[in-house]
Amino acid sequence: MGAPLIVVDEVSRIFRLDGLAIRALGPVSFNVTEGEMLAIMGPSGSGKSTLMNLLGCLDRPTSGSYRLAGEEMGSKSPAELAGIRNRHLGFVFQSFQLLPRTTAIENVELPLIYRGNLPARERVARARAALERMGLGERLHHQPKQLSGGQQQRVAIARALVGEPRIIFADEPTGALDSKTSVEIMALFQELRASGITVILVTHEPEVAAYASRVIVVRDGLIASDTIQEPVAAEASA
Amino acid sequence: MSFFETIRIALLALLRNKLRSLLTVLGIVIGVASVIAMTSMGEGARLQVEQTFASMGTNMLVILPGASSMGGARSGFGSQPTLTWADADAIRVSVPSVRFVAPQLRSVAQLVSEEQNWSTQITGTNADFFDIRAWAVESGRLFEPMEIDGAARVAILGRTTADKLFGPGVDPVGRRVRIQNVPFEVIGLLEQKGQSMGGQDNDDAAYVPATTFQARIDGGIQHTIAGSLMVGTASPEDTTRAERQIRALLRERHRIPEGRDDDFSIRNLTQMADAMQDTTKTLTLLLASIAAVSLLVGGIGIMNIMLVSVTERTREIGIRMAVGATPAAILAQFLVEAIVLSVAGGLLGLLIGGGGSFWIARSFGWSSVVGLDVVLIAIGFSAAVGVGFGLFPARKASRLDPIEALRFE
Repeated sequence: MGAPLIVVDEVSRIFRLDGLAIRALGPVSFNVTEGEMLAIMGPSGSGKSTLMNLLGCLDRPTSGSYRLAGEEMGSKSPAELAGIRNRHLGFVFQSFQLLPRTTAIENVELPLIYRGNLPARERVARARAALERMGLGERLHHQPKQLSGGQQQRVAIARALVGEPRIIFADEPTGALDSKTSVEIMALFQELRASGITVILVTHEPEVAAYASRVIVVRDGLIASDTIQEPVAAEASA
Repeated sequence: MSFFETIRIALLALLRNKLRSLLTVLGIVIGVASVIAMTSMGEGARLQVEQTFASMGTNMLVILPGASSMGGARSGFGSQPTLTWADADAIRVSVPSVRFVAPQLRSVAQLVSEEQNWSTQITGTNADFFDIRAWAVESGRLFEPMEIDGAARVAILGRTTADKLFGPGVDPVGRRVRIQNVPFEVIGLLEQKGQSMGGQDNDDAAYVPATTFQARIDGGIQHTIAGSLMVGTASPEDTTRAERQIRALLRERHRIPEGRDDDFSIRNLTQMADAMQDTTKTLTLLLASIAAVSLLVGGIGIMNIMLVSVTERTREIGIRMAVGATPAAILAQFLVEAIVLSVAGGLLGLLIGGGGSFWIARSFGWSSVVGLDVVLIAIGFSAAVGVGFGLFPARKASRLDPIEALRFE
């Protein structure tokens, strides 16, 4: 094993509300190695979303050090963090978060638009390839409202993938889906892991966490347990 | 993200809400259209004034003889013949900036040709008069010095007078007319000059030498001038200095002690023309600034809609930030939307304002001038309105927290 991809060292996140300091997270410390499929579990309000926002460079720690691929993230500007999200990270959300009245392929192109100096033709080709990989080759020009929940989540995964990220973050990715579609989506994440991408899931469902190779349980802003496990293979049961 | 990509995204966003975009633009359209209409019609009015004064003659002073206050009855300037022919010669000789001096003796009299008669204004003057008023002959010639000195019976006619006496379009040069039973030879026909500022026909006139006028029409040579003196200077800048010098000269010649009023008055037509031009300019500026207020109101309309749009699209902003849009990219997107709105409004307003002023000018018979400078200012100004009023909403969008924005319902 090489150097860990993610190093979290004594990280805390404190929110200030009307002069009141609320400790949402920490201090926590752990490492994530490239190629892991990590599930972060915990009841609502436990701080698991705060942790994911920090890991996903959407937020910065109040104290402690967060190093991503050896680089300290705590001192980066919002514009630098945007660039890191754009090149190295992908996001999948519970509510899909696709742009309405915008076709699937245009949604998937979005990260590449912000990457800059990428010719439009290459952008379209890469977006098409990502959608085809998700089995949506026939739905390129459909708008989100014309797609089922599972299809929308596949568009979102294609969007997360199109920039060839090292880590994909998934926040309750199956929360809005039925159990059969959930298994299909989890199978996709296991495929991504097999292709070398690190996957970090946030979930409160043990069935979803069972597909991961490692489970961190967060309670009251602190790590309650950290277990490495043999993942259950996600196979669509008839 | 490239510049064209930003514009494409802005256009797509605006087209998603066509009616709203159109209504937002309306304020700018009205503002720019009225600024363009006001300035172009003002410019037209200014040109009109300029032309009118040019037809009257430029670089010109008019000296009127004095006011009388005999026996308690006070009359205005011109009622007392205080100007003499010697005064006229003195002005010509001793005021260096003066190039032309022409008397104007006026009377209405009947002219009789072989076939018709016509009453018109007869002016006794000299050849300088036509130089001052920049008036050339269409055929024939102007007065010779010999004719002035010798009180020759020669006349120069305006176009209208010639038409009335000899028939439309006939060249009267060489024909004879009688004025108060004295026969005159027509030596010149003046080119057409059109209406004067007061609405009088400049071409309905006849001119004879001042000496002849005195001897044959006004009843006897006098040493005073029973009319006014016109003075032409070399350039418009000279008129003020010439006025001062002539005033000093005449006061000295008339032996007016310090502290007493002049017994003549000097009107500076160049100054009057400047004053009138200034008036139209001021009026135009006033109208245009009133119109500019509506541009401001239009800008506030854009800001309002952009703020609504930022709130409505909070989630979109969150998504864009999550996939890697920098705050600057978000700022640019919303700013470009505001600028596209205001510049589109500016272009539309330019079309409407330019067309409207052209139409109004044509139906009133004015001239209307849409200058390139006005066009550039209107477009530049509307773009500036877009930047000015788009900046605040765009900054608001760019400073959103991506986590909060994604959670926004």
